[in-house]
Amino acid sequence: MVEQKEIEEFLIRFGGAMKGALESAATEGYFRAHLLEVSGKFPYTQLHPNLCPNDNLLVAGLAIPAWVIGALVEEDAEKRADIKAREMGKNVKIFGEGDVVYSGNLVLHHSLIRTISNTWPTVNTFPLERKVGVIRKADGQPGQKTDVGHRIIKL
Amino acid sequence: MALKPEEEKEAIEFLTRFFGGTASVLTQMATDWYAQEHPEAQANFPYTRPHENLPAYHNMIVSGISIGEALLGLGLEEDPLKLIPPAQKEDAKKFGKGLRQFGEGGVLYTVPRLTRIAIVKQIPVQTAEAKGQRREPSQPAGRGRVIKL
Repeated sequence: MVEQKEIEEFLIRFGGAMKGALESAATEGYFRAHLLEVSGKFPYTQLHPNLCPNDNLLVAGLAIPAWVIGALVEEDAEKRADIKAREMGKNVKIFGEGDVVYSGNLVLHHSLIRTISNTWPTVNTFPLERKVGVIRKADGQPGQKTDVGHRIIKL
Repeated sequence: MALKPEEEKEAIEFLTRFFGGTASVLTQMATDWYAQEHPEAQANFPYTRPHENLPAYHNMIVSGISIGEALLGLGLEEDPLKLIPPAQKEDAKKFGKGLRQFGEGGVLYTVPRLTRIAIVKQIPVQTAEAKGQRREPSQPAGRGRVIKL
């Protein structure tokens, strides 16, 4: 039989993964809601064209502290034979582990689709959930027009 | 630095889960690639969505595959119908546990991903028109002079 402990561990891991998903939804949602202002600005930039946007790297980076802190607490509590602290450390570590599984694969996914599209341009590009970089205004959209016929002087 | 047997077991379990998630990433990429290569397929199932603000069916199918893997692993581990001969029971249990963890990794990536897509789709994309409309009231009249050229 799958033990009760394993079910609990799965739920904690799943909670960690959901935390990662909510963080990436927050950064993604902010990007959509403020597309024109934040486009091309940190963290919506890339370290390299083949890599994922930096906000995904930040989400992945936020997963690591819980994992490391949990592991350290568990190890320390084991030395002190503190069962309660050991259990807590283990749960924090498992929570971080779930977050790492989600956000590590998120970074891998978003980097792979860019790397493949850039390396083999003949392969049809994958649909990017989001393109980073400065948004170019389409023709006919309001923007800076060169031939406007008047000048505005700020007072 | 040598790992203790318990730590080694945990490391293997973590890697099994992580690669389960990676397998889901690759499955997702394969379905996305097919849609890009066959644009005519994009209007048909599974590239349609139940609602415009929900993820497409192919995302749900990828998630369903990993749930299936986890359940199959659980089934092999538990063998509730007693289908596995006793001689192979131990091996099947071991394999089932690995498969369950592999599927669990897929679930840890795909289900939160579906949630993320569903949340993000609720947020409208900012357009230049919407931005212009929002800014209009904050620009008081009489703050500048327009000189016709």
